[in-house]
Amino acid sequence: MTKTKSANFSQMYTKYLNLVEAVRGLPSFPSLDAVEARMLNTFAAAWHEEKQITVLEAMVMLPEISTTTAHRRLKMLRKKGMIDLSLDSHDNRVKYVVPTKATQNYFAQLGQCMEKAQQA
Amino acid sequence: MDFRRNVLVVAGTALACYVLFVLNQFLFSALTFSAGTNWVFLPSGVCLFAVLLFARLGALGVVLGAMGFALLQSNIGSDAVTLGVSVCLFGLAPLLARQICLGSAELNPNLQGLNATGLVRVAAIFSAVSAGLHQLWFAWRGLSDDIVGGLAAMFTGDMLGILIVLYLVKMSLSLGERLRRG
Repeated sequence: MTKTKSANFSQMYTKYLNLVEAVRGLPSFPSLDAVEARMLNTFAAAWHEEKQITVLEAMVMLPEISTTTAHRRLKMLRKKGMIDLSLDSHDNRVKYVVPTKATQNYFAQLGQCMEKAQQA
Repeated sequence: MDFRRNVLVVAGTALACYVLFVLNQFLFSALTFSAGTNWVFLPSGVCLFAVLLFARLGALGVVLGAMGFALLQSNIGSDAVTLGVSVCLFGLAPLLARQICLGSAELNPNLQGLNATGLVRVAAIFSAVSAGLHQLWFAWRGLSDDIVGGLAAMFTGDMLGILIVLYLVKMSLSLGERLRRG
């Protein structure tokens, strides 16, 4: 294979990778599975009482799932923009799970659904 | 080797384009605005992908795919000139849109730095160019009474088609990743 042909293939593959990366970046529909929704509900109860949740606490809040699963779901929730992490002002090793605007919208929508259901 | 690769690219694009034309007719024939104008137009997604990845070869594939479909089942008028030019516009419009994006620094020839927002912007330019060229041609040939309505319908159809294809690709990428992870 000549150098030009090889360069052509390489260029085409680079284009493909760049295009795939752009497609991956398209906003996803924030669909939560049952475990993610349950985790978010548990966090919401704590946030409502103005409690701060550390990542370690978040990982053991649902006793029915393993810490590995909880950690994976926390990462997914963060990827979906439903939670964020903030550093403790005194100890950088401690991270807190905090709600985002999307979380507030999510619960606001659920609240509206409840209201509509009650009116029906 | 290079020739064989080019033939493969053109044939693959033509096949994908043809399949999406057939699928579009099967799924969305009820959403036809006028002859040659649909409210949802899936082949636009392939046109965009093909032209972004393979440029002129992709455009040629799109033209051949559209021609195959037009020869088997055409609803864009009956004369060969109208049909021929309409089919060529399917390949020409995305190429022109690509050139516009390259000229306005919206796009890098290697798609370097292209992100989701940029991709949607390129899709919008492509849809506008495609709808504009097609509707002008249809009006010229006396096939369209309502250019503005046709333009809006075709732009919407192209955008929706591209977004559907983009999200299908995104879903298959996620599915592939999940399957690989087990």
